[in-house]
Amino acid sequence: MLSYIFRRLCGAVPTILVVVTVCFTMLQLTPGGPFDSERKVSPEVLANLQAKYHLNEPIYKQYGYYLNNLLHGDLGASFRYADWSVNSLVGNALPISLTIGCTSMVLALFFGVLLGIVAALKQNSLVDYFVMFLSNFGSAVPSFVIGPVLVLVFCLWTPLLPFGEFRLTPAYILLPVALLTLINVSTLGRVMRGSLIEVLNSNYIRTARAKGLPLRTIVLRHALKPALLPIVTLLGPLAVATIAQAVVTESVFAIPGIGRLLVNGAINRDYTLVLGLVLLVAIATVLFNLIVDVVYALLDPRIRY
Amino acid sequence: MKQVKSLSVLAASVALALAGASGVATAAKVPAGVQLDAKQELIRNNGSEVESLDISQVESYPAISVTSDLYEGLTRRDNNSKILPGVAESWKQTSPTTWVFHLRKDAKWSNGDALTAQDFVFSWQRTADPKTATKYGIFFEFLKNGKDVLAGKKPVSALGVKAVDAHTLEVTTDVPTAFLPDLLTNPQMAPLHKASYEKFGKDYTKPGKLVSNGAYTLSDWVVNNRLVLVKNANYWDAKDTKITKVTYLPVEDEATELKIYRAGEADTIDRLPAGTFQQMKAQLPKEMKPNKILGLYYYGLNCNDPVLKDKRVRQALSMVIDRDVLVNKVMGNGEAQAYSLIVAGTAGASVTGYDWQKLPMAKRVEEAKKLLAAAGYGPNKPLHLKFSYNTSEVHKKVGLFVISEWKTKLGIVTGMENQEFKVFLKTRHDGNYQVARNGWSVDYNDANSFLDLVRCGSDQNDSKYCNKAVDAEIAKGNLTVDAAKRKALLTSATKLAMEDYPIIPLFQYVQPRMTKTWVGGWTTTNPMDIYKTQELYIVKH
Repeated sequence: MLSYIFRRLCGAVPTILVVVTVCFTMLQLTPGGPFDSERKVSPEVLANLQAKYHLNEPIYKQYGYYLNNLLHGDLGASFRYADWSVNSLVGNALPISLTIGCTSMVLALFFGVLLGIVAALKQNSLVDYFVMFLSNFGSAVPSFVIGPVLVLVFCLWTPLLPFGEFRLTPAYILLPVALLTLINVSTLGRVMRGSLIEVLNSNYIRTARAKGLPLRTIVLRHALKPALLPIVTLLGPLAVATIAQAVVTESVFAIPGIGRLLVNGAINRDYTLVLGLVLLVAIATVLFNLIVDVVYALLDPRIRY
Repeated sequence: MKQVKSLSVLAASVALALAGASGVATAAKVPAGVQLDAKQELIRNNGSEVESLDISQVESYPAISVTSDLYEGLTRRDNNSKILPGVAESWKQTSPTTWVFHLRKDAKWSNGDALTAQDFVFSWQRTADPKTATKYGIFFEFLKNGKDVLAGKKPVSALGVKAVDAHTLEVTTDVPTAFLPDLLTNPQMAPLHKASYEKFGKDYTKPGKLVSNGAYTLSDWVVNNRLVLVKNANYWDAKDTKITKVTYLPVEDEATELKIYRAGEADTIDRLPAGTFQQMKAQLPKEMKPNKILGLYYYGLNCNDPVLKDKRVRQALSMVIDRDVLVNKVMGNGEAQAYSLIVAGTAGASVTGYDWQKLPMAKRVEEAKKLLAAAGYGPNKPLHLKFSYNTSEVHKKVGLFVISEWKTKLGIVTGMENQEFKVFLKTRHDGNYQVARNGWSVDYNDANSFLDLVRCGSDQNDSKYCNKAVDAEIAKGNLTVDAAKRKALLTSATKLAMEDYPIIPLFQYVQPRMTKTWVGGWTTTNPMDIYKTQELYIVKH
């Protein structure tokens, strides 16, 4: 298993390099540069700015500088936020996004699996209909609609929660975590329900029933593990989707996380900031996929690496 | 340059201007009977994260707002845009291109160090240095040798600024610059604390390291979250500064910003979501503080375009747009109709107009049809145009109104093309458009800033318009020392340019601001639209 993980990590390096190269090229090809503004800068000032950021040099050289800095753990200086390096910007924003993202993922996993199990066991009952309604609601109504409604209800109409100058405290992260959890629960609950129903209808479960095993043992000991496999498959993409969701939630709840950095980075053509964040998402994706594959082996005895 | 030198020789015969009053207290003026709150703290939403607190790098409105609290230049503007003494307690124009500033003796840095004329020299030379790569070179271009220093053709020591002694600064300009005291209010022209800059380098702007000379000093800064300033006890007018702590929030989303304001988590907001002004005005009339600014919303017409290079077509397009409907029905934030390049309140030139603007619309349409017919367009050969704008609800709304005016009144078929902001800027700067959404707010209160939009070859001239007669008039005006004569010349240049219709002026911008009723000192007569916290106070509530 360890050698498998090592091989996968080694294999990730060229993947990430390709992502960085493609992103670097796409940013260079995008019309409009970091120094374009309503007020056009004079050619002399533009020359000074380009020289400062090496933009006056050939693209292959700029790419070389970037890779060299990257190898030294330096994501470069931000084009937009002149006083900050990309390392410090990402370093300040990441803990906030991670806290909100991880908390919501853990909660979504717990509630998604729980509701999925209940719905599967009480198929076509009121409980099932409620879970399915919740799932469809969370999937169908976009976060940029639910988010502002939550703020309206809990911060304005009944001012129970603070809103504005963000602090990394439970009161401030409650609503964004609730929103992300709702979105993820809707997916996880639906998949868990379908998966468990399918497993419960399989032959070996029928055998277990025939042997007279209690339902509790059948579900917990025999059905849950295989039913969780699709959930595990989903976790990787869902974790990456949570980063993408942060783009909306962080804007709605005014959270200083990586989602807002990414949006502003793209709008401002902050090449280094966008590259740094794309790199972060690429690494996260590779890691999530690796973790999912490892968990597969733990859940399914047929899988061996 | 030769003209400048000859004018300098005439300096002795020129009536010298004297401005500024010694030791004027300029901070918060609390009216008699107003009881102040025990907690003098203010939260302002700033609209976005500041790009920098380094005065050589600031360019956006949010960054200028914060650095205007942190730093003070030789002069300063109050919240009515009136020029007042800043670090300089008085100044004198000793020749058309030479100014002498006398610094107040009690000016200090936030760490208690004495502030001297040399701090200005250091700051300006550093910003103009090509290695610093400032984006805001425009202010320095007015100083003697400024353009050459910025281009790296002359050393920074050649810049037109000299410390005569610790408290006397001599500033020389390339041409007579009547608006120099206005220009020097900008934070980019503030002094810099050399010792802390040399000690910390790029990090000198971080909390605990930043040494400022304004009414406030930096206490906390978390990117995309908050920027907290506290009162600078060493500021020369600290006794009249009431607000002890100001927090700037960087919330970009206008709907979120309004919710934060309504939740009581911000005391002022500078913007409102599109279409909510009237609703807010009806609900919270006392909190509405719309401020008309020196900014023009206009459509640029590409004068190099085969269709639009015909002046008659450009004139017809401008004539038929009903600005009254546009400002009152489409916008509705209190904007003023515009028919000129210059907006009301601009120094250095008068607002011009068109003879046709008072005619009934039917008559204007009739005239416009004649112009189009003369240019070869009519029912049998309708004019086709393309209008480009950056993606935004407001720009789309205005665009739909304008093209419907052209369609219904002149039969012109106009396609709309929206682009992402930076893509759009490139399209416009490169001149790859026919009609484009455009807007301009001045950097300093002088007609020159607006005239940059029509000068031949100017970086800001996206219409690619060029009329040598207009340029000659502007140049003549700028070399004229007499204020009245200068104003007449720049007005004449504006009139001349506007008769060529390089742009379609639509309206003068209004900043649809809201402030809580307990924030005192807020004005609605501030054309430069920078509100210094030091002039505000919190009323007991």
